[in-house]
This record gives sequence, structure tokens and C-alpha cells, in this order.
Amino acid sequence: MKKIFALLALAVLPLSAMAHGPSPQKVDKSVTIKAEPAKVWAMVKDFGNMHKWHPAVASTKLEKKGDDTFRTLTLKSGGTIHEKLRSADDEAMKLRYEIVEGVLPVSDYNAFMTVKAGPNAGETTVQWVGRFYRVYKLNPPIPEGQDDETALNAVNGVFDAGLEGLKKTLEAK
Amino acid sequence: MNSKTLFAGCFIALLALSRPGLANDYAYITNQGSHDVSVIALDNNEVIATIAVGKGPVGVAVSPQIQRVFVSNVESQSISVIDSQSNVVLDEIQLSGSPVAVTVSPDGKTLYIADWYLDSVIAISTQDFKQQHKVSIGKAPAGLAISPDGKTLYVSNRDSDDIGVIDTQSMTVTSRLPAGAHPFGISISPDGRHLYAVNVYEDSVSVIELTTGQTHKIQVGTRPYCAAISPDSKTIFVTNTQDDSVSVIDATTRKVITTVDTGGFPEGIDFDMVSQRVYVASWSDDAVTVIDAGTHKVIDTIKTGQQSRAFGRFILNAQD
Repeated sequence: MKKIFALLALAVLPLSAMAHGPSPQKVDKSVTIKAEPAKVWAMVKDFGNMHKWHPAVASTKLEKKGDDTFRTLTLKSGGTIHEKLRSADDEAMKLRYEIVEGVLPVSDYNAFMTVKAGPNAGETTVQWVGRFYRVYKLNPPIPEGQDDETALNAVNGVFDAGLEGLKKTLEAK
Repeated sequence: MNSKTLFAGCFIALLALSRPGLANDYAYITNQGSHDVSVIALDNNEVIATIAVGKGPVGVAVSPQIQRVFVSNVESQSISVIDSQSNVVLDEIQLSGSPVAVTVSPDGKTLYIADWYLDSVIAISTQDFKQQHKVSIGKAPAGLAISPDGKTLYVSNRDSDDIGVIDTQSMTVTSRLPAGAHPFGISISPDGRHLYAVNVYEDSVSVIELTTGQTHKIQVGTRPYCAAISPDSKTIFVTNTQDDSVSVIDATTRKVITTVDTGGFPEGIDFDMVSQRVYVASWSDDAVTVIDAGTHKVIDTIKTGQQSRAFGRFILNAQD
């Protein structure tokens, strides 16, 4: 009987967001947009035009280096983010990219965006998933601003504002 | 506590208690984001229990000899000890560093832990957790693999790009073998002849011939993490985390035969010798992808907890 109670107690422990240690962090956000999937995908996969829908991005500069495609995002708040396109799969409607360097307080950041038919006709669901580590990867103590929470807050902010901006832009047309 | 949670808890407890011992085969999947372990029954690929463990569970090791499952909790800096017959957590071993990989000696007597804060490997008696031996190793030891005779332990030193070789009887480092950039998962072939080290930063697998020390490299997909080997030592399966795929390698020709699409960000991988299937933890899908080892086709996807990693040997066979 004791074991049952021990198990019950463990099963209902609150899941805290606090974290340390070298664990990859994840942000997974979705939005439903009143627009056809093909139209949404056309905007999502347009790697050189993120400023058209992301409210934090002032301008986007697209560059080709051999077979690789890069973009530099200049933020309205100042600073830049240099990103590499990993793939844009028209069949799966999935875009993958990674951060090469930039002002976001993260390291080893890679992300994907997928576009799928939404819950109702004429609707689309966009999912945005990022995987990254905090900036400081060594043993504690962790310097301020380089911890998991800072990294998570930053990416949550980028995704929330971005998906809202994408919805607004597409629904306005 | 709401009634739903209580009911769920009771349900899990009942399931755990009603299991008639080790009549079957199970996979123990660590879920870093939900701080628990999903137990999958391999005969029907259903999750039969979810076991709450410490924070940020990553590494896992099973021992059929002592019917235990060991889970490394990276964030709570501890090891959860699970009784595989009841699926109840019996103990939590607190450590001063931060554990990543765990493995158990073939006789079940010793648990080995790679600690990447302390740059060391710890050996703990599974009968008395207070009996511990520590040996310093390279930078950020991550993966562990033990020889089939239990005499030699291999450790991938992620940040020194090599493999530490430890004599388990004396717990001393006898040599360091060069690997590629950022070796993470390592696996030893069941015939004991080859060690496979997965080099995350150079998209390759190092093959080390343990009798001659000769090494070879095989290119795989983007940011590979872990390898599983078939029981006949002839086929190697490697997870490519940023390609959402598994590379299937012929061990004799050292060539990639095919690449199988899996769930997003595949990490831990293990081979079930009973069903001849490969189980792959998908970190971004919160799921396990099941691949038929003969046809190389995905035959099932099982929903697990959040951010499944299952780093280590996670399949427990009744008959091992």
C-alpha cells in the first residue's frame, strides 16, 4: 500500500518550468488562420520576406552562398539575426532553418514551421517548433541573461508575435 | 489534487500492480519535458504506465538480471531506480554532478554513470548505492557502452572528441581512442568486435575495430545522435536529429543501405530482438517511431510524454 501512495504522490508533483543543466529547450506554438493552406505556405516559405509578416523584423536580406541560402533579419529593436535555410519542402509544406549567429539569447537554435489544413474549410494551422540551448553551456553558476528561462522567454516572444503577425497579415488580404 | 489526477494516478498504480511479472518485453522512454518515463508494452505497442521520475530525465539503462531500470535526471542531478516488475520508483540516488548516460554491467551488479559536470564516470553497486567509485575522464563524458564480458567500459568524451577506455575491475582509464567531432551516443556490437561512436558535429559515425584499433568513418545524416545495432551485429541504425530520419548501415560494407523517415528530432534508439523492430524516440513529436528492421518501413507511432529522449539501452526483454 505504501508504494501506491508513494507513486500517487510522485504522479501529482507539480511540473516546474525551472530548469538548469544542459537540456535542449523546446517552444512549440500553433495558430489557426482563416486562409487557404497554399496561400499560407507561399508566405511561410518565402525565406527572404519575413518582415512582411513578423512585427519585430524591420527588414530581411537574402543571400546565396553556393547551394546554401541565408537571410539576415534586422530587428526593429536593433540588432540582427543571421539564419540559414535548411529546407523548404513543398509537398510536406515544411520549412526548416537554423540560426548561424544573432542577438537572440540562445545557442544551437534550429526550428521548423509546418503548414496544414485547419479545423474548418478555408482554414490553415501553422505550427512553429524551435529547439535550442541556453547561451551558457557550462556548469553552474549560470551568468544572468544566459539561462534557460531567458532563452525560453525570448523564443516564446518571437513565436507568439510572429504567429499573430502572420495571421493578421494573411487575414487582412 | 483534483479527482481526475487522482483517478489517473490510481489507474497507473493499478496497472503497475496488476502486471504478472516479467512475462513480456517493454521499452522505457525518458521524457525530458514531462519529467516521466513512458513504459511501452512491445507486444501491442501501447503505453501501459507513465512513471514520474526526477527532473529532466534523459539517460536510461535496463537490467533484466536484477529487474531494474535506471534513469538519469539531468536537472535534479540524480538517478531514479525503477522496479521493472511493478514499475514503481524504489529509490532516487542523489549525485553531486549531473548524470547523462547510464549503463549496467551484464551481471547487473554495477551501474555506471557518465557525469558531465564533474568530467568523470561513477561506478555504483546496485546492491548498495553507497558503494561508489569515481574515475576522471575527458571533457563532458556523454555516452557509455560496456563490453559483453563486462570488463571494459567505453565513454564518449563529447568535448574532447575521443573515447575513454576504462578497465572496470580497477576503475582506471587504460587508453583514449580518437573519435570525430563531438561524439555523443556510443554502442558496442553484440559480438564485442566493433564500437560505433556517433559524431554530432561532423555528421558521421566512427567505427573502431576493438581488436586492432583501426578506425573508419561513415557519413550519415545531419546532427546524428545515437546508434543501435542488430543482435547479429550486421546492421547499424543511426538517428539523424536534424533530418528526422534513421540511417541504416551495413556493418560489413560500412555503407548506408537506406534512410528511413521518422518522427521529428529522433534521439534514443534501440533494437527489440524479439519483434525485430527498431524503436526511436522522437523529441519534437513526443512519440516513438517503430521501424521494421527487415523491411525498413515505419509500422507504428506511439504517443509518449513530452520531449522523449531515451538515451541508452531502453528495451527490456523477458528473455535476454
